[in-house]
Amino acid sequence: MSQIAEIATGGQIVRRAGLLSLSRRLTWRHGALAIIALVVVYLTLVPLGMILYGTLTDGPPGTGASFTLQNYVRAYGSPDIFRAAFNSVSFAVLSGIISFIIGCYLAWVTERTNTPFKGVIYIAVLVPFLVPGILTTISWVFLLSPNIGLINKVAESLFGLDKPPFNIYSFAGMVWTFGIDHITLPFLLMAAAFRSMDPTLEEAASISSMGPLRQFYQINLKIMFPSILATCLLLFVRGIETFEAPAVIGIPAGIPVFATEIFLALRRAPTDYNLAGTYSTAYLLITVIGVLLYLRVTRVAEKFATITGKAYRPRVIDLGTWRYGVLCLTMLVLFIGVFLPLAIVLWASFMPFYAQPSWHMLSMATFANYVAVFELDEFYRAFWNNLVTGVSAATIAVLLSVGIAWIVIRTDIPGRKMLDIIAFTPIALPGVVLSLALLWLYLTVPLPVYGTLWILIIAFVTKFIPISLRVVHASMLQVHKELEEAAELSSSSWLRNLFSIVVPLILPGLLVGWLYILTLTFKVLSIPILLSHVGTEVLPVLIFSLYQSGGITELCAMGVILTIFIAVVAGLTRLISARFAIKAGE
Amino acid sequence: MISVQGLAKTYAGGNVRAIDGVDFQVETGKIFTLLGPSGCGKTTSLRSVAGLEQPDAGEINLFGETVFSSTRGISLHPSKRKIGMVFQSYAIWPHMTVLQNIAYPLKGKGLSRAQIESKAREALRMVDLEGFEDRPAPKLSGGQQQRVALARAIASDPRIFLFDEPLSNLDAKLREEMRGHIRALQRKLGITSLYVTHDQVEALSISDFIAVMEKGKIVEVGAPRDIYLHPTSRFAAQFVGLTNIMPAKLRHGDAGDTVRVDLPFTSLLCQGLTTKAHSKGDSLMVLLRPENVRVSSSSFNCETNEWRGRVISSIFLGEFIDCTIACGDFQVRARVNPFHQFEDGAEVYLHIAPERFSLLTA
Repeated sequence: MSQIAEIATGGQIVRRAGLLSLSRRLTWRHGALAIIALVVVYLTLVPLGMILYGTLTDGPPGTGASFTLQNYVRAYGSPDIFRAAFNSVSFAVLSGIISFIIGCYLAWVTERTNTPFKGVIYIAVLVPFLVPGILTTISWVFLLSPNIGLINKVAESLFGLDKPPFNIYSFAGMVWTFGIDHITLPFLLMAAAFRSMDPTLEEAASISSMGPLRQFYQINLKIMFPSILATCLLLFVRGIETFEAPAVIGIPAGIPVFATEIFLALRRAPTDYNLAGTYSTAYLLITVIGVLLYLRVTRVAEKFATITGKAYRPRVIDLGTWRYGVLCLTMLVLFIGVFLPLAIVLWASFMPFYAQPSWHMLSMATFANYVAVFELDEFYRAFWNNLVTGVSAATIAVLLSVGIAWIVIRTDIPGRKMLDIIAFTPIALPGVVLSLALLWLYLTVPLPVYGTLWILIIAFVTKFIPISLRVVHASMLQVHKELEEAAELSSSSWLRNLFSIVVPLILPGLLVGWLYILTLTFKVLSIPILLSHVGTEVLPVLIFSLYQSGGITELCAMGVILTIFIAVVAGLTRLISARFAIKAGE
Repeated sequence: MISVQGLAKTYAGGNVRAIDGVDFQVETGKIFTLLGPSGCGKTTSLRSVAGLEQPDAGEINLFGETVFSSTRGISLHPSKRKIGMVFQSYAIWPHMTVLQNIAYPLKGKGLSRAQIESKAREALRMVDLEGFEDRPAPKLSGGQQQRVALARAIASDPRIFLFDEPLSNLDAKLREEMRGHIRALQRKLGITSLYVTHDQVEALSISDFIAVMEKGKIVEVGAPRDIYLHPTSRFAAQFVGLTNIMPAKLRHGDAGDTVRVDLPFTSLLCQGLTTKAHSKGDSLMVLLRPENVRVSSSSFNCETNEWRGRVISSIFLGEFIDCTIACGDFQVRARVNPFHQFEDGAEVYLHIAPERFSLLTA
């Protein structure tokens, strides 16, 4: 009898121990994972819900207004929204075509031809990545403005024109400025596509005695079609989202697009949050369609064995003496597209007041602007704000990405694919819409976030999680499952295993993602423009407000300093990723 | 002692049965091998014992302690099961040195730094890797990495060893060497071990007992010698080594423990096999291992178990000649001493000793 009791209690002990350890596993691991999932959902879905709620109410955020459809009637009843939609879409399409043609041409030159100085060309094309968009946009005003534009002045004197041939303050000016600034992205994507194309496919076509034009159409174009489409769609989404060119050029020229319409609706007095929100719904619809198409195309692209996987050495086409012609054309493109905008900013940064480049003015060159920048309190404050928000946002985004990637790759928790998708949705959120959504949320919710750096950090984290997630996901896929299982056999602490086994192994990837996000926070204007206040501005915002108040030469000096800073960080990123052979987020 | 009862697990929402009612016991100090083709559930069974997978049903006991029970809701964390495991990929952490790899499982167990180091060094000594302490793990050869994995498994004084195809990433020569190493170490430490492999030679050479698995079930358990010489299932007979399987009918009439069976092309006398469960005329299967079939161009002059055939092909493989011989409508594979030589189409005599084959119920 006692024996039976002993067995029974023994069993009881075992059972308790078992349940205890089961629950211990549940609290730690699942608790951490649940928090991560909740944070991601909170960051991405809640603001969107708030904006939608706002479009259906009749008062500004936090006023407890009543429900109405009036905003929709107002917004969609006026031709403005359709004009903005038309402008946004045609702007994105046309500038995307310019970027694609130039980027693709440069990729072809460096990957497929024997044009000399390919290394120089390659580096030159990467430069626009380092320059904040607000600075490039302003530099094109220096080049193409009817009054002060350098190219206009030169053309006038060369050809004896009596009026300037170009006017930056036009739709064409806006398209050109954005298009020429975005050649790096299509260049990198198309260069990768050229590199991943199996040369034997072309050789097979040559053997079958196809004409070169037919071969190009039948083989090259068809094989590369998915990557071409994906590149174009990505450019379209970027174009739709962008704020700099529409703000600097479009607003004075009276060309409304979604980004600027929302911006103006919030700058007007009284601030019309509801209308801005309603504009955002149409804006969002277009970007979401763009991103969905992009995802669809890239999924198709993955099916083409030529796009993923192994890298080939593409067959180099011998251009003969033509290669010098190609070199001249390439240099001309890079001179206009990369060198001129940078040079004019650099020139202006040394001028006591803005003036055309000339020998006379060169003698007046001065460091005064740089001195002024370094004496400016706002500069230090903005740089500090930028650094604090950038570093925090990059750290939080990367840590969240580790959690998300771990859930997606290592667990079979139901809904993990959904989490992946939710974390990816901000890619379709234009910066202005995201900012508006956050404004709405934190004007309603009584948390001390509005008007602080926190709102910027939250916005940056939300917007850049998709980027860090892609880098972290790719790195984590390379960590063999058994490495983690061996750790699981050693220690029951999930966090200890994660941070002593997995994190060190993917550290290079984490660093690359971290640095990349940091540089983005120093470049992007569309997010902080609505969220920064006096005291919480970041560098791109400071540059924009200097531009608006006419501090042009000082702005240029600040832009040069900022670009050098970004270049150093980017150089570091490249060094790490080259050393550990990791592909960056783009 | 490891005791596994009624283990079952399904994948893909219940559509794929990975393991389907697996029972086995490993006696203390023995090596028990789960042998089978890929997808037979051997790895899932092992990983369930380790706690890396959660079975849907069943119970696992290690030395009397229940570490998993679906009915009682017990599932001990892998690290609490006191297990040493060697993985197929070695799973050596590449960002650590050899010593750090071995020391990791020892940390957080209330040992002092010095104790941890001395235990780790002791484990390294046991796998003959002294002097490699500070080597970065990726700077080791495959065989050395495998030994580090072994040392890491030993270091924390596990109750049992689990081996998940530990040799499949090594080349043939090294595999043989490591096989001996693992066997010797296991013997020396006397640690109860569960071993998973798809390689029959590995299983036969290393195990005390082998369980042959097919489609999520154990089809046969036995000592290596029994599994090979007297398999009791058609699957085990075919999976472990090459075998000729011939249909036969039982003919009673011989005295003692010998029986006679009729094959389509000859009749054979069997010795040492019990056929008590069968009666005259029952259908059986005769299993002939190719190395037990003797082939000659002249008669063996045996009264029994000799028949004739015609050579279809003979392939010289160095160690032996792989002969395929037509006997009536059937083909018999035989392994012949390499000094023999047969022309294709030649008439040959075949012979098998009465005790060197086995019978199966059809």
